[in-house]
This record gives sequence, C-alpha cells and structure tokens, in this order.
Amino acid sequence: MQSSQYLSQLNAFEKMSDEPWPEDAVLYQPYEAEQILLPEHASCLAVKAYLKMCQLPFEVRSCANAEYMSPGGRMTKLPFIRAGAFIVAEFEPIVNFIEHKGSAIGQWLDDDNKADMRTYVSLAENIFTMAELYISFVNKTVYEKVTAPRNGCVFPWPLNLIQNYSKRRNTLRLLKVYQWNDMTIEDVIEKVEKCCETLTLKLEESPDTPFFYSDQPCELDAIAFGHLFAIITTDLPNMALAQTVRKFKRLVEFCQFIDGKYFQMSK
Amino acid sequence: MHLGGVLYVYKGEWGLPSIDFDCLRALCLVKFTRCPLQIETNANPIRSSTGKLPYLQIGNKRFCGYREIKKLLDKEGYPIDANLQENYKLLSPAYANWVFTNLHSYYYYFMFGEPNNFDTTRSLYAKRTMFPFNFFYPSSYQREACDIVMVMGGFDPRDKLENHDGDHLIANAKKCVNLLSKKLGKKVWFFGDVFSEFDAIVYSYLSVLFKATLPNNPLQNHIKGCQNLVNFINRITKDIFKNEGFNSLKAIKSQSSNDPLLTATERHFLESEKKTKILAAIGAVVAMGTFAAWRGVYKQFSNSRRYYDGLEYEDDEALEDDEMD
Repeated sequence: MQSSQYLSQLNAFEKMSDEPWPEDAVLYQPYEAEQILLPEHASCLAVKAYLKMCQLPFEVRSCANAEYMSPGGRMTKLPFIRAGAFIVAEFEPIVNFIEHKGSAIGQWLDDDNKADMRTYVSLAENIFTMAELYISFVNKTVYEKVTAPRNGCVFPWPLNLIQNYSKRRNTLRLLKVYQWNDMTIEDVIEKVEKCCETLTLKLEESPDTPFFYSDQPCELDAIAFGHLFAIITTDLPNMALAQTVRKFKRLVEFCQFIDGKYFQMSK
Repeated sequence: MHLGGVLYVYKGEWGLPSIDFDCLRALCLVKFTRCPLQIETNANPIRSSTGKLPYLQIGNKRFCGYREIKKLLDKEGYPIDANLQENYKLLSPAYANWVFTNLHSYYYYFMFGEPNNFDTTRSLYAKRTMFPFNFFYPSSYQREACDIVMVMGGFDPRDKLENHDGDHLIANAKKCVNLLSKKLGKKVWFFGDVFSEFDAIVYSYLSVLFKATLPNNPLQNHIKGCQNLVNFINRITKDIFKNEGFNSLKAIKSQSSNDPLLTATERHFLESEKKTKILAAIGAVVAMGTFAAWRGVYKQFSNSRRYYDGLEYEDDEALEDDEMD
C-alpha cells in the first residue's frame, strides 16, 4: 500500500515536472528537543541541508506523530515533505522529487560521476543509519536511558510501553534484514571507520575545495553532513560512534564548514 | 590453513556450483583465493548454528554463515581483497553495499516471495535437504524473504498477488544492472586485472538470476542484453568452477538407459533415485501391513463382541432368575 503510493507519485512526478517548487512547502519532523531519535535527527538534518543547498524555501513543522503521518520508507520514514499535492518521505525519494522539479543541485556532474556519487550516498546512508539504529536500540544503556524515554514521551503510560516495544521490534527486524543484528559493537565501529575512511579519501581527491565534488555542493555533501553532524553533536551514554567520527579531523572540519555556511547564517 | 577443512554448500544447478546466494559468495571466496578446502554438497542445515548453509568445518570447530567464513579466511592468510590497490580496497565494500541495496530485495522477492516462483525454488532446496528437514528449511527462506521484502520493498509477499508491488524492485534492479554493465566495460574484473569481494558478490547475485529457470523473472532477459555481464558470468562459471558446476539434466541423461521396451512410467521409475525406491517400498509395506492388521483386528473384535454379548445375555437371565426366586 505504501509503495503503490510511492509509485503513483513517481508517475505523477513526470507530469508535474514543469510546475515550480511551491512557496509553502513544509518539512515534518518529530519534536527536536524532547522526542527525536538519533537516526531520525540525522536524516532530518540531511534533508534540511539538501534543501538549503538547493536554495528552496521550506518551513519546518514539528509533530508528535510525524512518523505515523509519513507515507513510508525503507529506513526511518522521516522526515517527509509536503510540496503542493505531493508527500514524499526520506532522503533519496526527496532528492528524486526535486530532480524532477528541475531545481536540484549536482546536475553539472556527468553521468559517470553521478552514478559514482549515488554509490557513495547509498553507502553513507546505509552504514550511518544502521550504526545509529544499532546504538539506539541494541545497546542496552542507550536504549533504556535515551531511546525508550524519548520515543515514549509523547504517549500516556500504558501506550508508551506498547509503542516502545513495537518500535524496537520493527527496528530489530530492519537490522536483521540488513544483516546487522548479530554484530558486536566492535564490528559496528569497524564498519563506521571504514565508511569514514572512504569519505575522507573522496574528500581529499579535491583538497583545495571544501565540497566532495569540486567547489559546488551535491547530495553527498548533504547526506554526509547530516549524519556526521548528528553523530558528533548528540550526547548519548555511549559515545563510541562520536569518538570514531572525531578521529577523522578532515570530516569534522567539513561538518563545521557546512554548518557555518548553511545553518548559522539563517539564524 | 588447518588440514581437512570442509565447506558445506547446497549442490548447484544449471551448470552453477550452487543454487544459493550465500553459498556462491562463500565458494567464490574460497576459489578466488585458492584456499585448499574440500567442498561438500551433501550437507544438512541443522548442523549449522544459523540454520542455513554454507558452513565451514575444521576439526570440531564450525564457522557458520558468510561473514564468519570470510573472517576466518582473512585471519588464515587468504584475504580476498589482498591484491587490490589501497583506494579500491575501500571502494569494493562501498559498491557491494550499493548492489545489496538495489538487488537484494529483488533477489529475495523473485526467488522466494513470488508464489509462482517459490514452487520451483522450494523443490530445488527440498531436493538438496535430507528427508524430514526438507519440509522445514525451504520455507525458512520464505519467512526470511517476507521480512526482507517488507522492509526493503514496502509490501508483504503473503498478501494477495494483486497487491504485490514489484515494479519499483524491477526498475531498481534494471538500473543497477545497467550501471554494473557500464562499470565492467571490457575489463576482466570490476577493478581491472585483480579480483575483489565485489566481483564475488555481483557474480553470486547475477549468475543465479541469469541461469535460474523461474516462471517469472523479468531481470533474466535484461541481463541477456548486457553481453559483457553474460561473458563475466560464463567465464567465472567455466574457468573457476569447472569441477563444481552441476546440471541435473545432464547427469540424468548420462545415466538413464534407453531401452525401447520400457514404458514411460518404468523409465521414470528407473530414473528416480535409489532413496525414493526404498521409501516407496517401505511405504507400500506399511500400507499393506496396516490394512491387514486393521482387517484382522476388526474380525477378532467383532467375534469377541458377539461372544461377550452372548455371555452377558446368559448372565442377565441368570440374574433375573435369581431375583425371581
């Protein structure tokens, strides 16, 4: 049901491609201070960074039930945007949607580079999201001290237990599908380290420019910034992920640069 | 490597060394690195802690599942990515991850989720599993496929067929194959002259999807259109898995007798395996025995009842007589 909606949207994108980006586009996300979890925070940040890089106007609206309003997706289902008659969830579909609108960045890349960049985007999205889900739901202290109270905070007493239970079960199933369920924390850190190394290497291919591909931003910049920045700025009882990312000075500098360029200015 | 390591995998079909994605991956690791392991196709998944093949047994130790096998091979000095350039060493898992995102759900949906295809796949897996277990293990793959398709595809394969929404799985998979074909170009391996884990993974996905004779498999024709990928698959199958490749049609043809005097059923009976014959014989004996026993018991039972009824009657009469006195 979810994906049939997704498909009909894809078909409708084709027809809609000439219409411009609406002025009143809204990005829905959970409450940032009380409710949002690390993986959701990361993907919200990535989408916001991408929209800002495209210089598209949007309004952020926080909803307690954002997850249940979302049309569905592969991983966190969040954030989702409402632009005109369309509701699109998660990073990749949103990027595709904006590309159909014709206002996407990264159009100057040739086909080879674009395919390459998509590979990196899918790598960064998978590895970081899985690592964040793993630390939020499999690590016992983090789950009990942060994930469960935050996820349950918008529901009254008996319902919050049920919601926590069902969310944890769904997440564990997702981790199982991506074959992360039987990993130890060392394996997870090794995976994240490898991914950071790959990104650093890519960043150093063009050492004089601040972005991954030459001097203009693209999707990879947005997704890498979203996840890395969320990981290093979120306080958890277990900081293993943040410490791993902090080892890569080049990536931390990159995050600070993007944060300064796109987020501080608007404030 | 310790002596006497045995890798247990499912037997192949269509000329491939194995019918299973994970088994093929593990086989590629072993064969690409020329690791001296014995390969055994007569295996039982119950001995593996994951409930699935492949598993690697060395002495009393078992290494179950692809990841553990790879870890062991890396430790023992047979790492698959050893000869790659440094930056390719990082790119290989990145590409592998991307192929996983695009092809994994397609593979599991069309191998195990699609109801028409699953009949074929189940019989393939059931034939390779020992008798009481063949009712259980193939459907464990189906359960796994349900999870995978629900998470990555967004619909439930247990739903009605009209609600199956495989179009975007197909579109993604086709895009992925196109890009793979472009990436491979005219090279021998994806990263030039040296093999990598990425080659193993691409080979494992595509060879099964390309060779499998499923009723519904839209990617098969698409792969046929990419000549370099077809060459890639055929070259690895022929050169590296010369001895392991298996084809049941060929094997049966070479054995069967072409006696013109036999009827079709008799010929079919000769072609069937010895195990089936023994099972059929046991089944027949049990059926006949049961029938005989049932008949015998029935007779005895009815005899005894008649006898007992008579006695009771006499007793009752005697009792009545007593009371009358």
